[in-house]
Amino acid sequence: MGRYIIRRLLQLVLILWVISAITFFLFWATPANPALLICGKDCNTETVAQVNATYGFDDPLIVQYGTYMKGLINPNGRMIGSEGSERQCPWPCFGESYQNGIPVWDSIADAFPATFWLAMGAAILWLFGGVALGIVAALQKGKALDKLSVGLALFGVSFPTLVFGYLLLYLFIVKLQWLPFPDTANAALLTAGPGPWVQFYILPWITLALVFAALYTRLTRANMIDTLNEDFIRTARAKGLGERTVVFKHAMRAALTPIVTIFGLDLGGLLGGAVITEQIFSITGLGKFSIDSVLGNDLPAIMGVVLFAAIFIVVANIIVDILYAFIDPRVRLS
Amino acid sequence: MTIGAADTQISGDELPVDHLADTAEAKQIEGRSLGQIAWARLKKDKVAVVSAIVILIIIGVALFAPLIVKINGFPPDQFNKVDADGNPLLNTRDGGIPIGGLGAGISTEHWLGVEPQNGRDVFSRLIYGTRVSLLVALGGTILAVVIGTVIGMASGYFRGWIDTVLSRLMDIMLSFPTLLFIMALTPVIADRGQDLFGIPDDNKLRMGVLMFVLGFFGWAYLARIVRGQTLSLREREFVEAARSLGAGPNYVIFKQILPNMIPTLLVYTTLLLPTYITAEAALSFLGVGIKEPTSSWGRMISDASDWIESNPLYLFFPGMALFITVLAFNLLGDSVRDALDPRAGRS
Repeated sequence: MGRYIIRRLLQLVLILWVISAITFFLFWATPANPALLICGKDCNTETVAQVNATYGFDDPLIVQYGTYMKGLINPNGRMIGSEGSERQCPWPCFGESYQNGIPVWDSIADAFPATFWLAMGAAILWLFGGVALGIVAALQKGKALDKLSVGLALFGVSFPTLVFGYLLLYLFIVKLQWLPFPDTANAALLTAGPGPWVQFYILPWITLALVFAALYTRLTRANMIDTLNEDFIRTARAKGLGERTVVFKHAMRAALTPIVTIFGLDLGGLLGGAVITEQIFSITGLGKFSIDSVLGNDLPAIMGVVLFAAIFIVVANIIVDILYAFIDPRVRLS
Repeated sequence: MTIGAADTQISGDELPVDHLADTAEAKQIEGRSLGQIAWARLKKDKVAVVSAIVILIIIGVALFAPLIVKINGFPPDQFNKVDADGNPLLNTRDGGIPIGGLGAGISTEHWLGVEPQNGRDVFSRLIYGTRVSLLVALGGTILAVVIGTVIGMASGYFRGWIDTVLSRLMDIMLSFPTLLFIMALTPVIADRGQDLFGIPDDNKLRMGVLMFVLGFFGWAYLARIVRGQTLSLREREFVEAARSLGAGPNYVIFKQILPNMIPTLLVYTTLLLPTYITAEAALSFLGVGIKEPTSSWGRMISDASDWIESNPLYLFFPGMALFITVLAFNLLGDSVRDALDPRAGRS
């Protein structure tokens, strides 16, 4: 087991390194002249040359990549800025934004809590909602309740987040006025208090959870139906176990294992930012930060947020694999 | 690559039947019956038939968009200020909100109203948006399926170091934050196309770029599935029989493994299309996809969101178009899957 974990961790480092290299060379090889972006309106050849020298844009790409990676690996970060105005960029140094000069890591750290709460709340909703509906559907297979949940799931899968989010926004905020318009001040639990905080997040949670809940309903139902047909369930029933024990102790454990895997990956993906939901409900999370960076051509910010999101996906992958190896010994032996 | 090509793919045609029929003799009976049973099931499945009809209508709308708009008489990017009688359409004093017609300017001339401020005909824009949506989704899907199939089959068939390299490549592709990456890369590539090839950054280029990034970042998952199936198919008796009679890798790959892969590819294609339709809308909504003046459902939703308080109708039309299209594709995709794989969903 220890060897398996070490092997997977080495793979994690390797994959992250490859992603960082691909991302860096793709974005830094762009013709959008970063010097022009930085010096802004009053650009002349002299200032451009100066900016190029300060930021090292004149160096070969590979050297620039080395400098960039130094800021991520070296525990002291690296120095940035021109001679005379040099400053320390502490670890992890993703550079400074071209748009406002703020260190990218600071912006990411600021934006992350909103994304975190959004993803967590939605995850709880879809996990419990989806799995419960799936189990009920499987137990009632072919009956009205099953057909209803299958229909709901199909509906949910087909409702683009874009449309569903605005539908909720219109219905509950504009039309019925049950909820106030999103105010970013309420995004922080501590300053806003629980009431406004829930009011702020409830619609985004539902919006984000819908598609996942639908997918999990389908998956749980299919897995559960398959499991209930397995021999060991028949054995359990033949032993005279009660239906409740058979369903909740025997069938559910087998049927939900694959769900654990997918849940880890989905959550890992979302922690990098839920762009559409954040945009609709004006949540200043990572998704909003990334789209703003993209629209502002802010390379260090884009690079930083892509890497940050990739870390979550890769780490989620590893955690899921290790969990799986614990559950299923065949995995770690192969 | 025309939109018309879609109906052979989507309507669950008899491709599997033909191909399965001329694979190895031993498989003939089972192969043929699978395809025929699937086709018969699809024809009996009312949901499948209805959604197929809806999809055909949508494809027709996309194909004949210029004709339909001619009947309507308002090109999608024409600014309409007055109606046929010369009465103003927009209230210039009130921020350019349309006059009458449920506050959206709906009339016998403008069936779904006009946009606030510039008075463009919503119906025409919706019709043309269908084109963008379907084209981008189809292009991206074809690219993803082709790359995924080639890489997956190569990886599963040749095994050894090729498999190792390609499998790691799939791992890396699956670890990318896809939406973020597509979002960040689309403007960059569009920019670069302008610089390198002298192609202006117009919406034709943008559509191409969208197809490219969607396809390029979407193949890895399919490749994994195809790899797994190839691994098991290549060990089957009929492949062994062909090999012992002297068949080379070309024969085995194209005449034996590929035809057996078609059900999987068909299902995946029908389920990938709606995903990409949504993705195109999302990217255009975020401002990194299709730009003005070309109409796209995502852009229409983005524009309409500014007016959500005064009039939700602007949001309703493109939202419904998106929803119905995605639903129809999903329903058909499910039916195709159920028809081809009796275990899935019903068992």
